[in-house]
Amino acid sequence: MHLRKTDGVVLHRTDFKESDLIITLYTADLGKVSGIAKGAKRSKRRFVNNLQPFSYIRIVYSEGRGGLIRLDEADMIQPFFRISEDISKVLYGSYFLEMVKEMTGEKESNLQLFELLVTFLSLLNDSPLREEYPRIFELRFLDLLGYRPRLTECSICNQILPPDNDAWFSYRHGGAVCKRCQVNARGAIAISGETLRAMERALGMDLAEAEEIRFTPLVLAEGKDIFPRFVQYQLGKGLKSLRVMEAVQGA
Amino acid sequence: MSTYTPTVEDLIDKLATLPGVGKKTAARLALHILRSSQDEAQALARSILRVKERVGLCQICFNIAEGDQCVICRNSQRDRSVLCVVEDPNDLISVEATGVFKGLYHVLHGAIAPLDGVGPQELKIAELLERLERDKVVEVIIATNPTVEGDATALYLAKVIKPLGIMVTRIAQGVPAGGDIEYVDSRTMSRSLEGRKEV
Ligand SMILES: [Zn+2]
Ligand SMILES: [Zn+2]
Repeated sequence: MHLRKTDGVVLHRTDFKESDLIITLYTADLGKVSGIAKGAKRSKRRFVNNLQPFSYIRIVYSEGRGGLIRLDEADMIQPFFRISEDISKVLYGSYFLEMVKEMTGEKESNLQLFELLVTFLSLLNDSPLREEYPRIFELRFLDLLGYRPRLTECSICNQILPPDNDAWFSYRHGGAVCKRCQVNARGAIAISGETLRAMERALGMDLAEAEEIRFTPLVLAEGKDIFPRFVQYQLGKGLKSLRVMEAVQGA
Repeated sequence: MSTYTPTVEDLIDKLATLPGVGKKTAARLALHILRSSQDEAQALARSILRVKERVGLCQICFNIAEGDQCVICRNSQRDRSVLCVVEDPNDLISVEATGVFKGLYHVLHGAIAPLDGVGPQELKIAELLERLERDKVVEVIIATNPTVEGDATALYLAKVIKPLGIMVTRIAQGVPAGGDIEYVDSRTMSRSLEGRKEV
């Protein structure tokens, strides 16, 4: 059987039968793939505990049946294990993994998306948690999937929004709407000009600047209210990690 | 094409749903049952039914129990001031097998797994907190798995239990005895180094 190699981040693992695991990975060259790791629950040798969520690994695999690849070996590139030393990091990181798992197609590669994921897992692993991270990730992720929200002009009439004025955000129209159009966008919610500008900056900046960017409390509060809902609106269903996040943070 | 009768085939299918039992083993077990006496077969069937009728969860620690309380909670010799928290009844059996731990247990029935939608409410955590407020517990030992989910659960428990003025500890993690350092993953190795002891 032909053996190949690829690098990927473990998005999810689930038990399969007595001793196997089914692993979903986001890889640099294949995009999202799922594979079976035979005996991974028993044999600590071949996979040495490398198949946990967040792990960035190099796998040796072969094409298997039913769209699943067959994982033969997994070597650690970067375990990102500091994430699991802080429950908020686990929750945010899980949110990133779930977005990628739920919103990308099987075997549709997207190198920029892969880099986005690795960048943000590195940030969670290496630096103190910042509330800016999930907001930047959401926006950049949506952009890469073709759902970039329109923030500088009205999503209905296309007029440039006056930069300092408050506006409305319509999930249905995929972005900001002006005061005039807002009456036609049922369910649109108020968003400040400040938040719109901050989000536009987060979309345009170099990814390497993600660690330095700071939002004001207003931007953080509005962003947290609007963008996870926008992600779920685009997905068409709720995300499990967000539900768990609410339950944990409410405690 | 089946070489067995439909009834035997049905038994094989049912047996093959058991963990660790493949089709071949299931067929061997089915033929064994077929050859055994009426009494033996009935005894086996009765045992399976009885287990489902009588065995449930301990109302205190959620271990497997016959009746309201498990054998450990019923044992008056156990130290009631220390609780060991585990994910599953199987983990309890592992801790218990050491004979070292003399306290009581609390079985969560899982671990916090955000990607699977398992949060604190899906686990026996509210029951644990109630227990801590009711009983005079001085230490909670967390023995969840050294996985992302087990870590998240330990962190969450520490966050909600410490404010009650109860000591929270977690079992040591590191290179397994009889293991091979060459095959230890970096997460485990880093924790082993952090948890090192003077010799
Ligand atoms: Zn407009
Ligand atoms: Zn009990």
